[in-house]
Amino acid sequence: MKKHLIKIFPLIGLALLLILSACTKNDADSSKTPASPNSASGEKIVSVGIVNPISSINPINTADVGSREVINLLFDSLYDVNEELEFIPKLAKEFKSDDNQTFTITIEPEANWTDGKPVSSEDILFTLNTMANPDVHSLGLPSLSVIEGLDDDGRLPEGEESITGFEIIDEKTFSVKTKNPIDPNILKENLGYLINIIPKHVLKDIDPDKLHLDPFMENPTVTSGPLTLVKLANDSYVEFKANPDYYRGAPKIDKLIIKIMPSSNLVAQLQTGEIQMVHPGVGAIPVQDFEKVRSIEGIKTIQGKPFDYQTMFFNMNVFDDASVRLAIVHAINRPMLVDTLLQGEAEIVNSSFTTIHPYYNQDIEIYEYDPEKSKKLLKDANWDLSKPINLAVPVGNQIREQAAAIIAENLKAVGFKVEINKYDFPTLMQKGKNHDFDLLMMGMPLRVDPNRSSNILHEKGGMINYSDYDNPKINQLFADGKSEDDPAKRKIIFNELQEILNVDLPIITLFSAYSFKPVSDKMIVGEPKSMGMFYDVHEWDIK
Amino acid sequence: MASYIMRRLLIAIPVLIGVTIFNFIIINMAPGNPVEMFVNPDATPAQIELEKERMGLNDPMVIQYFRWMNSLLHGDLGYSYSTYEPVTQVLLERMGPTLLLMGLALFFGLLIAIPIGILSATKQYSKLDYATTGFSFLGISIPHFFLGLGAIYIFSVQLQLLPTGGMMTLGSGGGFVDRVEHLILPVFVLATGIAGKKIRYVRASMLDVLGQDYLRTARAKGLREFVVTNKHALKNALIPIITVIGLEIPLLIGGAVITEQVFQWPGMGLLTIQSIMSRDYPTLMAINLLTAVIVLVANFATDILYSVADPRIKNN
Repeated sequence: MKKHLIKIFPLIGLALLLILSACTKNDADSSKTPASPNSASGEKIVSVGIVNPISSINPINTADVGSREVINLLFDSLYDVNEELEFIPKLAKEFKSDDNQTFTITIEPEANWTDGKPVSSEDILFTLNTMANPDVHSLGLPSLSVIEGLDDDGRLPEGEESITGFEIIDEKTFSVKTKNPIDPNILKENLGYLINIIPKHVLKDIDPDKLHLDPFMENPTVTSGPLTLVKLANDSYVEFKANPDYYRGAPKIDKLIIKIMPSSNLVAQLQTGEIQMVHPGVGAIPVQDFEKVRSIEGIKTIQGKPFDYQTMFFNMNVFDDASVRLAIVHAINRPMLVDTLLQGEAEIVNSSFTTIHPYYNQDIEIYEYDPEKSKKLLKDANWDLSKPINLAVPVGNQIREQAAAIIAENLKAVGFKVEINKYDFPTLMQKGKNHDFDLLMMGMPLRVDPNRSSNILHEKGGMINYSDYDNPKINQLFADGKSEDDPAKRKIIFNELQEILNVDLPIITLFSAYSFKPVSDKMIVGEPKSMGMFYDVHEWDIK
Repeated sequence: MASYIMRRLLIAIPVLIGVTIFNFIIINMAPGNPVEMFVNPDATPAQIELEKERMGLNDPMVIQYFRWMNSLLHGDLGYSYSTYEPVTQVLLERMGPTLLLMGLALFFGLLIAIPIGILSATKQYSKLDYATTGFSFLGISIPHFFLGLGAIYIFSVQLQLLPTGGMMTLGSGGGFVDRVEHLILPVFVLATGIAGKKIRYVRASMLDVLGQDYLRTARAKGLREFVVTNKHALKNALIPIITVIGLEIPLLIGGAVITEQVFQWPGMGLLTIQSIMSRDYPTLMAINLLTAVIVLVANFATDILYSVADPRIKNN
């Protein structure tokens, strides 16, 4: 027996040797490489963790938040938005109007493209014309249909090549005329904040029909932002380097890296120093890890505010009785969701605006958790409780999935039969659009303009009007809100709108989690923000 | 032999066509569609319809399929619906990292499994045998995500020896040492799983052979035990093992979905998941086609290898 062992030994030995040799190679420098954010060359590198993969970075045709952050770093817009929901200027130097109908905007005189050419009024007109061109693969400018010369879908009418309401005054000045007087914030958000300016001199000769396939769209070589793109690996990382000629000041860091990883790895990488912070909008740390992150040495956490919220849609064709919808609202134990599931790191929301939004209606009636009242309402409405309710939930957000389980229990407690069905996101959207559900849960981001915040949810034909809600009074209020240019009067309109919605209840807003923002002590300047996080990236610095 | 190869190739064509039809139907039947995944929520339904029309998504499925097949025959796999890059380019970018990761994992997995399996069989029912059997069951049953996260916790977070993921330290350009460091944990996780499975096969297969008469003859001839085990016995024991290894080859291209996610390895597995989530039809079709081709090639190569390992098997 012993003999066998001796004979087989060299084989195992060889195997072990090979394995070990692979390991030992790195023992020598393993102490420094992984933990240090700065490479051997002494460059200042900041890494930010996110969860959502980056889809297309085509500046004229993208929707998801992560991709927009990448685009924002490369192509400056006129404005950014900060956490106070105020517009802060980037390319815009001046923005004025005497009548809220003709707006004159001046571009920063020093703002140049990376090839040295100035960012001009021509570029802005080119960007808008391109997006509004029906031949271009872009979803147009639906939210800019207020501008003269665009149709209701925000496209150029047939035969038109340029937006008539846009006038170039000089290289750095232009004016925009709207169909009616509007609240300047509508323009600041939809033209200023949401549109990234692309370089006319680089793209003007490309066939509009082929523009989205042009290599420039995924690997832009001429940009205007504080950083330039080094490498985009859509589902693993994006690497940027400083643009030394940036008009708001040369960045102090050499490189910025956005790393994409499962949320479970965010905490590990904060701990090892492989990332210095997370992006709270697209890199949310699960609430059960908050304590763990707070205890990591060298990481401080900043208390955030509620910037997005979870909702539950009623299918209005199924729950056609408002008192039944109210019964369901009373049945759901929202205080428990907030206190237990979210460990108090959230607030209960009663409207499609959270408490930080300027248009939030303070006086709205808040529905308490009251299962007895719920049972009574159901009894009075003669509701048939034997029919099972299908609660559709998207997979991916653990907290939301757990919330769904609690809500299902709450509903069972008042007599409903509930089935939870989990779907991936595309399937859920399809179910929502076809109103093929009874109750459906989803998260919504907060937006600055009150129209954009909720008309897609409640207006007839709105993209996310999964409830199939149609109230002519609401549709009218949205139209009024869009055309009213006095913010004080708009506030009254949206207060009324929230009151009606709170009675009609096409959706229940459940809770809004406070964003959680950990950042490494190594950062001298720069921290995670729910909005406008990279606005001052050129001032960021790391030890 | 030549006619055998020819015949196999000819059979492969209808099989591949069948696979593409089947995949096309399944992919298109999945609820949701790519336009809604990249659409801006402010878009009006009319604009979404227009975009769908432009992408040809409103055409009957048969027409869409033939359009896809037609460009395939012209060597064009289309462009990705989520990143607008040519699919060929996307796949090529992913293939390298996946080949490297899976190749090393398979190599180390076998390097562990074959000697240990042989040893385990020659020492049947010894403590060593029980230990290896225990290890191999552990390797088979531990989910990759758990082993991966555990390895990250121990080696990256606690000991700070290895990076938690990625292919290299970003921003540094990534030297050889750096890349090896990034490979260790994912290769370890995958190799553990592969070794666990293969040890069982090698052991069982060796046990079958070890009891046979010709080995007694070999020993009677006065051959050394080492030669008996590792030459005479192993050669016959390898035949079923080759089949099993052949079955693993498609993984080399397909990648390891879970492990690649845990370690943020930019390979095919990660791409597959992302393409499904964004309903990126052209990329999904290309991945499926590629996988089908690899499966066919691997099966074919396995059959050829049989005859090398055992000249009694004639390919006819």
